[in-house]
Amino acid sequence: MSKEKIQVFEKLQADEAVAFWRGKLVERQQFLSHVMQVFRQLPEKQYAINLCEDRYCFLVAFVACMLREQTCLLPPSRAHKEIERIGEIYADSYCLAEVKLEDVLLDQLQIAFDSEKSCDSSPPRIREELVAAIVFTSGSTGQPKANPKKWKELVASAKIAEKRFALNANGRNSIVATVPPQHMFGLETSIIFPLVTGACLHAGKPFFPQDINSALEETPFRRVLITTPLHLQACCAAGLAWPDIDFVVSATAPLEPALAMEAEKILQTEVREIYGCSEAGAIASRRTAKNSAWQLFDGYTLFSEKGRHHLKIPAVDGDIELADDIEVIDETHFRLAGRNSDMLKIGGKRGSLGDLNCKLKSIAGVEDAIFVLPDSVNGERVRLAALVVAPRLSHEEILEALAEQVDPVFLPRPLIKVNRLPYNELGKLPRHDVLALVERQKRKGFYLESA
Amino acid sequence: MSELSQIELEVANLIVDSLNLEEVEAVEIDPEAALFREGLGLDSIDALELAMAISKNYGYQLRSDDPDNSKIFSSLRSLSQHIEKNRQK
Repeated sequence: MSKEKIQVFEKLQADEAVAFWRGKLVERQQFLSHVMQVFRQLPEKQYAINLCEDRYCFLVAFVACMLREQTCLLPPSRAHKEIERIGEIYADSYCLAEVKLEDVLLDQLQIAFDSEKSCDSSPPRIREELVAAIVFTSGSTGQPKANPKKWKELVASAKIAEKRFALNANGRNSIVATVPPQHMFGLETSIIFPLVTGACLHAGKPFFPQDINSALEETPFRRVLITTPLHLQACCAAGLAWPDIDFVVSATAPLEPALAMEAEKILQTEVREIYGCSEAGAIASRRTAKNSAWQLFDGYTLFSEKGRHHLKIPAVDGDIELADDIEVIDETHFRLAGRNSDMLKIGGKRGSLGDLNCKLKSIAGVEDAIFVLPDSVNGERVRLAALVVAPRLSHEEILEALAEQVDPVFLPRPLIKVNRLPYNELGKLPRHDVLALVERQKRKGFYLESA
Repeated sequence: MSELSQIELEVANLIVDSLNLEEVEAVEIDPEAALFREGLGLDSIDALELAMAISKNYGYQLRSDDPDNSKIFSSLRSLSQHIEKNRQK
């Protein structure tokens, strides 16, 4: 086993700020004191389900866990069932958060530290082969799919991104992010960027345009905004005056070129888009207002095998199969040809229809069921619809049982109760027939009681 | 279920229109029922779209660090009252 180690904050001096938290800068030595205080609270376990909502607390816990050689488990949502399922698979685990978690049945640690304290220790060195995090996505089998991330992989990817985006090139950057640190994109940009590149972390998770605006405004260094197309759209429509921003990075859902152009105009900055997935992390980027082609991260290579596209990342052992169909332009550029049809992306959350169908059908009283994603008309946001055969359950009972297991963005609207599903003679459920039945039932007004 | 006031009906229509809740009639929304998770079952994307519609129609920007948020969003009635109090247009 390799004993090589990589230091956190290798570029920061002792009195330089690591984060902007609760309206104040946190210096490196204060941060290290916070880490050591939390380090001493950690139980003797191998896995910590890191549910901190405060981004600074997440960072403190993340580093404390790495020092303890513990792996942070990052669930795809805060749905109780999802957390408990991960707790079942990883028996030697506990939940960790800065607040007391209600209704979670697993062991939990509420971290606390004296924020005024400082210390003289030097930044810790972390074993590069340590699996620092496991990021979960919804698999197609009903079980969450684990994507382990070694410390060295996270570091290598952040260094490539730092160069690609010219992070800190014109003076220190401060990172404001609207995405949670438990999401792969949020982890890489809002947690690993600060640890590796010395960019300052803004602890907030601004949501509404006014929050994002204020967070950027109060940021003490040159501003970078990490966000999603949904937030960008809201920001463009808000009619606010925006402070200077070095650049914006968007991911989690495709960014329409028209929105990218509008955002560049209103925010007066460049909008970069990252293409990535939980398996590989960020893979490629583009300035969406100007280019349709994606430029692979430096050193990454693509190859095809048995009709599927694979990716080789220098820091990662083995290769990664891409879930999306791509059209290779040259060695370093590609276009997206379409998403794999089982995979869904709604509000930045990725799910699989197969997984959602499994969960819906597993509800006691549900005899048969299928989810379908209607086609978007005029780029309007569409919601999943579901047909359910469950004679003894009400709409509310089905939705309630489903809400315990899936993120709210995947809850079907409408959920339509039917007597049977439209199987064809091959025993399959053609999407076309499912959609037609949804439309027919909607016109009948059958679903009104679900509203 | 109680009758909707004028502002409640206006906000109910805004919710139905901006979120494409084509299956819901504005007048049928229970003003005391929860807007998120239960009741209408709205989610975080809806909150963002609703915030856009509110800023456009009432010139008022919602903030997530508002300590009263859970109360504001608890029902159509409280959201309407909050908008009425803070509207700029």
